[in-house]
Amino acid sequence: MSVVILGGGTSGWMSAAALMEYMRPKGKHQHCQIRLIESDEIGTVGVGEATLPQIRDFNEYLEINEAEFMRKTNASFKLGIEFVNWGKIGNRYHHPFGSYGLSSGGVDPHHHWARAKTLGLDYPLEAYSYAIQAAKALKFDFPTEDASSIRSTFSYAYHFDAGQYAAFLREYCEARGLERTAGTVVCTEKDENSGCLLSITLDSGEVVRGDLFIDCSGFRALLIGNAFNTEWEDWSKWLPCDRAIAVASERAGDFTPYTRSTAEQEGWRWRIPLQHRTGNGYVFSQAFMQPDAAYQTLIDNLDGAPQADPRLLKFSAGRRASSWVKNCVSIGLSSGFLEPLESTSIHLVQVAITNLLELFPIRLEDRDLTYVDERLCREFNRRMDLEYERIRDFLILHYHANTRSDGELWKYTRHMTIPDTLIRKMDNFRKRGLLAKYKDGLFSPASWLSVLVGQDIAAEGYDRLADNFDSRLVLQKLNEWRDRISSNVEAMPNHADFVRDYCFISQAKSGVHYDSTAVR
Amino acid sequence: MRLSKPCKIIIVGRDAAVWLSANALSSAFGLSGVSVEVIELPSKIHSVDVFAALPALEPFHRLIGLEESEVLSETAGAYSLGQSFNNFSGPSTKFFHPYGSHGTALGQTPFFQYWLKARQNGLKASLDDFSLNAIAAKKGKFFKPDLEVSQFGNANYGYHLHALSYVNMLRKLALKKSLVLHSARHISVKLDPLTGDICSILLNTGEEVFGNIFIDCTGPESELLEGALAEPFQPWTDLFCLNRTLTTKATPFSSIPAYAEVRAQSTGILTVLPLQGMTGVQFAFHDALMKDDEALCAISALLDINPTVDAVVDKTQPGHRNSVWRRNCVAIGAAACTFDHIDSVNLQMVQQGLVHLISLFPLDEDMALERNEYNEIMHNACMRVRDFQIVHYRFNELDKPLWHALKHVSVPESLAAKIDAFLARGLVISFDHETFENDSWLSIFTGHGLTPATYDPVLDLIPDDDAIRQFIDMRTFIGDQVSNMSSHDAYLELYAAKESSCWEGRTK
Repeated sequence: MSVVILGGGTSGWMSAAALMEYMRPKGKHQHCQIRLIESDEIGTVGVGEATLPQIRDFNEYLEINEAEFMRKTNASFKLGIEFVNWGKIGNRYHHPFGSYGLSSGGVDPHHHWARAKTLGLDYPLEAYSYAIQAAKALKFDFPTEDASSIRSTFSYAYHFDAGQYAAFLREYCEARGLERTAGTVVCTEKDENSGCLLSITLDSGEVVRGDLFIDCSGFRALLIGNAFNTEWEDWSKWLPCDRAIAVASERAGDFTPYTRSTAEQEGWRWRIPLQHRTGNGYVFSQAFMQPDAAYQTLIDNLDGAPQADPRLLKFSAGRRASSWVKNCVSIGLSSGFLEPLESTSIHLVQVAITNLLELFPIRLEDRDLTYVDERLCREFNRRMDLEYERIRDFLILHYHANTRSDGELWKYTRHMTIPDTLIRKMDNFRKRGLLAKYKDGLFSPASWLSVLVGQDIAAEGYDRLADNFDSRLVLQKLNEWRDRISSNVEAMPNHADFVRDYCFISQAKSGVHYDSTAVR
Repeated sequence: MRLSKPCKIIIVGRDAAVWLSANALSSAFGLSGVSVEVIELPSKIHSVDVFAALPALEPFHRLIGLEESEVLSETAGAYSLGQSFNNFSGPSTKFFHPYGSHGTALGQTPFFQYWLKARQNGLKASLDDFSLNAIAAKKGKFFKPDLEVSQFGNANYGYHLHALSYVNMLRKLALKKSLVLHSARHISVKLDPLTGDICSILLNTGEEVFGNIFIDCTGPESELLEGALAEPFQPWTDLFCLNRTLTTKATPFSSIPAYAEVRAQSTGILTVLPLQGMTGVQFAFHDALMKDDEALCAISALLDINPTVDAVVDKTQPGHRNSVWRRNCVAIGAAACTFDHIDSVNLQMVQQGLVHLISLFPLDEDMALERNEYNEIMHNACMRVRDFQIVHYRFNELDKPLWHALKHVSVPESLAAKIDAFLARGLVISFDHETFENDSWLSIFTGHGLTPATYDPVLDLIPDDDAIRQFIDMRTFIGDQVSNMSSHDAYLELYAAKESSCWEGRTK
């Protein structure tokens, strides 16, 4: 069995690294050969610098040392995203990686919170989130697994330099013997009977044959698009932003353990703090704004000097009708694109890889060379569809729930027709704080809650079950919860210090984890 | 913030559905200003009826304030570690559907994948051999999972309960809570001429009971939902054609098995549900192939039952209603959806209906949103259970005319996708609102003879020695655990001895 990965950006190297680990011979067997082909001329997009907590599972699977990885990718910790001016100018809220308390007696914590408000205990929702309070205090420490501790109620991800992450993974793969070929694709050859891809021909003249092809060629989608003509489902009517200008600046301002997303007149700006610089960008729609104006806003708002010329990126929201066709699996931008508002790009790569590994095709002895079990394909596509659709609705919510009057983008997104699935989620919340719970896919009920409340979708009622609880006890528990958060956050180290100590000092201490005094 | 209106729930019907609803709703809302009234109709439970309950009943009991040992002693009940399915793939074939998992995951890869590979390489041990529940059950043992067992895998248990005693116990418990009880022989429903909602229930005594929300627990007749609000029943005649059920009892086992036996017979399905003081017997058959008294004779001869004891035969018609919540009326249990007997899910579905109703309990008279959500959830839950039940029939291998016919059912799309993923790679697709989790699906797919084409190819990169050693360890662990367990009889004696004359007095 031979696997050919086409493309060497973040998704190509993530796919290669995971496959190397998956196929790592754990005995004398070796059945699989992996090659990665990348062009030295074509640059990678590498915008995704903020991640979701799930990335930690991925790195763990690769047995990557966290401190080393953070050092080599100039990473910082991420407790969530701060949204500024979203919904309306002057608004600020966080979407944290964590909960707002624990469910008790079958009642989710926000129903107790809503009831407490009617009883006169009027604290904002964010007072009950450990992750938000730590983020606002610019602090960081690792969560604990001890479920009785308040410090088990949050999670974390990273901000990192995606280019350096790809390079880090390349090093990882090459150290394990991955064959990397530089080249661009000139043409492809398909088997007439099965319709499967047999080989790709490179500019060097080399014909690369394979059993399974992984298309990580980015927006160009050389295989899934060009060779297989897989239909593109366009979602730009819901997510009209199709351009981004990205620029790095010198590290300055707060070293925030969170991403900041600031809504502007015709789009939004990101700010991602790394150890060696700050990543910045402006996402907008060509229909409503010219790149020059976006560029100006971006530059005007940098908190450090720009380090390089800004880059203009073009994209379009949508996805392939099928991301796995015959013996070609598309991973990353070739399979679809959703703007970086909720840091889902790298996550989608990870999900595709995880699903591919769980459904990895094998050649059966009595079958043709290129036989791929359609049933595995279908299951892969079903899972990916679900992921994309759920993230899509969540992103749309950020745009749609606004009362801004300053830009065309906001007017358009406020009045556009949104998917029925989202209408229902909003109605359910509005009437009684009801949140969707589903088995697979992003986002969790707490994430939906953050954005719904954050963007002023007020719930008019709460679960009637909450009224069955002794009100004094509920108020007492809520007060205790906030107290535990503030005393614990106070004892946490500063994020900047923590990153420095963890990445550099802990090296000398042979990777001993920082251990703060546990205040509970 | 909109203020919740004081609300009056009227629960109408009989037996388990009524009393589970009364207990659950008054426990959930009793302190919040909601009042509960019950209109009890004459019981239709027979003294020979036995309920089989899935593991989820235990936490539900705790919510309504029932202790397990109390339940088992009051109902002369027994524990159940799962179901043994016999003869479904031909004479003397059997497999166990445990309420728990098989084996322990080895690293990243599920146990089942390792087992598939080992089987392809000639392993003799069946999936059952790696189930603590299955082995314990076969040896007459019973256990409750401790930490060591939890680290090994999931292990859970359900119950067999004497139906009449159980209902009486639920009734007694509910009446201790603050609710109003009305008794009626029959009722009629009065609709609000303006809104079309139910406004009251008229009892044969002349009393009229008003309320805001009405819970229809009247059983398959569905007197409120169908009778008054015209929600039609959608029978699943094409999928489940055994349309009669004989219920009787046999003498108790001298040593009580902690599991149910479900046996495929040439003319139907025999289910044996052991209790402390008797053994519940159900036989599902088709009226075109067998008369009621023929069924009674056949089963009595087979199980050496005195045919003069109570035996009843009921019509069975599995099917659902598209909207189980219409206007201000929610149907719970058989009034909403009726299942084939094979997996003992009826009590489970009463419970699910209540759990979702509690979390979606309407805030005011405009219930449209809650209704839509509820109907969708219950519809999905119902279809997922139906998919599970179809598997038993679809993949039977009995060489009998009845079973040939049962095999030719059309498979719904959701089940077809599940079967595909299983046949391709031994994977289970788990949709939202599944009653049966992956372990159960793996168990019945495998038990009914489905064999995946491939296993996870990563296993070919790992030397087998390690897995073989771990397999041996698992079996040793199970063997040791089971030999240290007390017998089911001893367990019952210690924790759940039946109260004297608890049900015997009520049998004719």
